[in-house]
Amino acid sequence: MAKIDIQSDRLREFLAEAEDILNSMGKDLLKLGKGVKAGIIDPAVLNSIFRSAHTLKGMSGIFDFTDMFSLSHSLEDTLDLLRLGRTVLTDEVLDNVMAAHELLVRIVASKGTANFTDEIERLKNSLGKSHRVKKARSGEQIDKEVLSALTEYEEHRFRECLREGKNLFIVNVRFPITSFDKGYAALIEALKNHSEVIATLPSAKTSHETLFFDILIGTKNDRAFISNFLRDIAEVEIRVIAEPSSRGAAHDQMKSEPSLEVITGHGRQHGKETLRRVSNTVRVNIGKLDNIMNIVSELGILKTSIASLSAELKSSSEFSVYGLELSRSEKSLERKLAELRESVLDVRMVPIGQLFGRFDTFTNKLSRESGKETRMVTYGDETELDKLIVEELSDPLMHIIRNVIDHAIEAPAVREALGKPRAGAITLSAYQKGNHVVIEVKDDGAGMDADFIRGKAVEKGIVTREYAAGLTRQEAFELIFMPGFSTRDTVSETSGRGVGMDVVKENITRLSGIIDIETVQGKGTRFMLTIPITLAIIQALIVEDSGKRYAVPLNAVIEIIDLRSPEERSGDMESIKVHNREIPSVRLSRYFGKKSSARDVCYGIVAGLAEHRLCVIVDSLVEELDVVIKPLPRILKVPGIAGATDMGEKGTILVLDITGILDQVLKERKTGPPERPSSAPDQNDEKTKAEQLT
Amino acid sequence: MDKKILIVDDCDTTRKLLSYIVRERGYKIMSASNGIEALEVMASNPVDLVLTDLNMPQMDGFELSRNIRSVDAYRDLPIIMVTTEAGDADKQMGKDAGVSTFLTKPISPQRLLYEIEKLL
Repeated sequence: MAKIDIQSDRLREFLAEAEDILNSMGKDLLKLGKGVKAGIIDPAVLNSIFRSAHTLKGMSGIFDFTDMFSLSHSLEDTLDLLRLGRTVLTDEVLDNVMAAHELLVRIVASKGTANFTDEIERLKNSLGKSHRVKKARSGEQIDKEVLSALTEYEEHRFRECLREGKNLFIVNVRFPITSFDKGYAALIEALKNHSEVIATLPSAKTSHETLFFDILIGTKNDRAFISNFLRDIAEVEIRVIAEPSSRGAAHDQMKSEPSLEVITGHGRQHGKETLRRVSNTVRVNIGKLDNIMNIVSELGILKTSIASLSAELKSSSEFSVYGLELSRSEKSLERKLAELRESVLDVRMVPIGQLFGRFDTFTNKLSRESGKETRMVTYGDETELDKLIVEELSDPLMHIIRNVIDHAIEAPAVREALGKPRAGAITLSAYQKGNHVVIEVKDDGAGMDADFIRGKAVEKGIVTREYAAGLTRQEAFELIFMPGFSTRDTVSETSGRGVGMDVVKENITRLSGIIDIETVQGKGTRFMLTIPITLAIIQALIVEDSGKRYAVPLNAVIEIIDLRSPEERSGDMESIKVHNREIPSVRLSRYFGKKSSARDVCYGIVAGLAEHRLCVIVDSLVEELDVVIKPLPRILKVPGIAGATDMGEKGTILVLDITGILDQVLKERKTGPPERPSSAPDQNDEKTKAEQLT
Repeated sequence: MDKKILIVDDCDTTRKLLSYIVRERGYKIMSASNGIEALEVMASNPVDLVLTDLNMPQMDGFELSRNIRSVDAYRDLPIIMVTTEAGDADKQMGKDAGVSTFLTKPISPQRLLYEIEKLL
């Protein structure tokens, strides 16, 4: 193997590890932030953040990641002072720590390609400024022997526990040498439920088959309680180091003779349960999953040819028996294939909570920077989406939230005057709706004013005054997705990264999703993103129009109507009445700028996303298939085409992007042809190009 | 041919990444998460080089080096210490403890491999 390959393998491994660490650090920071607000700082969380920074530093130190190394190094130093109680965790310090985390995330995301030196230097400066506080040494006498075995941090925690009036015990435990790691992990896990584990000291006692550990804990519970709940987990002895909460002052107890209590237990069940928790996940490159997907779809094509073969056999007098057998096997193959597809899809799914979790920190930071108060609530964290889509959603959602904090949420004083709570509520929710997931970003801010938006759009020269005046209220809101639209004249630090809501729209559209806006002035706004659950493999309806075949993603299909009888069709077929609702319709071949054969025998495919509907008219329906979409090269990107799919012997066919067609047709119908004026021939050219591919 | 390298570090990830780097050159890898574990491994498997961290629970890198040097068979065993603690005092302590090469992070993988090859 070429060296460069191994290098990039190593780099990928490193980046994946770093990402994991930063992820868990982010979660801890979130907890820490909440704690700071509530005035309670969990030392375990703080220490865990420190450990993450420490590990990052250690890792990046053996790579060429000098940027990451130097930043994580100074972050580690700051966190060390914090956990040792030498620095006070002020809002400012928290900001800096969070900024450092965010920068580390960006460094990892850039895969070492961007240069962050200036930013890092600035941040390191502010991190270094955190003030030291003098350490108030408690005058209590502490068991010297115990103290000498503690690290500085452990000693600090020891003293803190004493100060808080907690009991300090040493739990002595023994494990067989063959299984000590598992037993030890289970015990520590159990201890954490009722105490703070300060340190594990090497025990003086050792033997060949048994390992002894002395675990120093601080707890509000008494010895009887601790020994009781450990009874089932392991064989322990508990020694009292300090027991201030039971009676008398701390040091009276500390001088007292260590008392012993021996408990014997079995702990089989508990131990085993915890064992399984250790790690049962595998990290897989998503490319490998894509590969499996391809195979699944190819199997589907093979299955179809077996099906036609069995049908042929069945109809022949000589082999009909075999034909029946073959068709039975083919049916079970079909079921198994469906299961296989489901399972592979399931592997790619991750709960959207992973993504929501990232926004909490981000929102806190933005709110503080913009002098606003916000409260984030999330619902439906467990809703699952394709991992790749979740990643793609990160930027658009971040940008929407930025805009909400910047433009929608009023300043605390204003809110109070309006009779709203000082903190603006931002609600992120997700739920599944058929083959789509709807993600909502809701706020209780100022809401949008259609006239104001019309005015801005005209002022920015995005649309003419006449055009703006002709728009309905809802259509006016859509203007915020136009390139160049920004309602603030000065770009704020928060919203301003040179991108507007048009990029959000573009990103969502690329995912074959759509955005809807609901807003009530003075009450708030709701952005609704409707996104397909997965893009990798889709069930598609193969249709034919004017001699050309296309694949229509089934997830967009609502129903199929038979237009073969004349009474179903109205004159020009510009719209069709379905269930008493007038739906715009378009002949597929005509959409692609071709002459339609305009046969009388045809079908209407009613497609829809969220509240929008469109009827696509085609000559005939061919079959239903699972297909893997392969994106077209960028220069062949054509509105209305999501990609191509390989049909094996039957060649390649185009997969329709129903959202794209829907968008464009609706726009055209509303505003008339000028909407795509001079570019129309070009587009047709491109369409022909794309079609030539097939 | 196959030289065996023992990697000692209390951080799983660092251990894994170090072995990634070292394995590329065809070395066999063993690992331990602290000094005590390292000595246990060495008691039953001969190694050709030890790559160790300094700060580890239970037995740190200096103590590990001292223990290794106390065994006759390992008097000349190459020991590389990779650490962030860079003070001269540390380096001197490392030397006294028997560390062959003291590397201060950040280092590049190339540098690390170069140092390993120099000693083997």
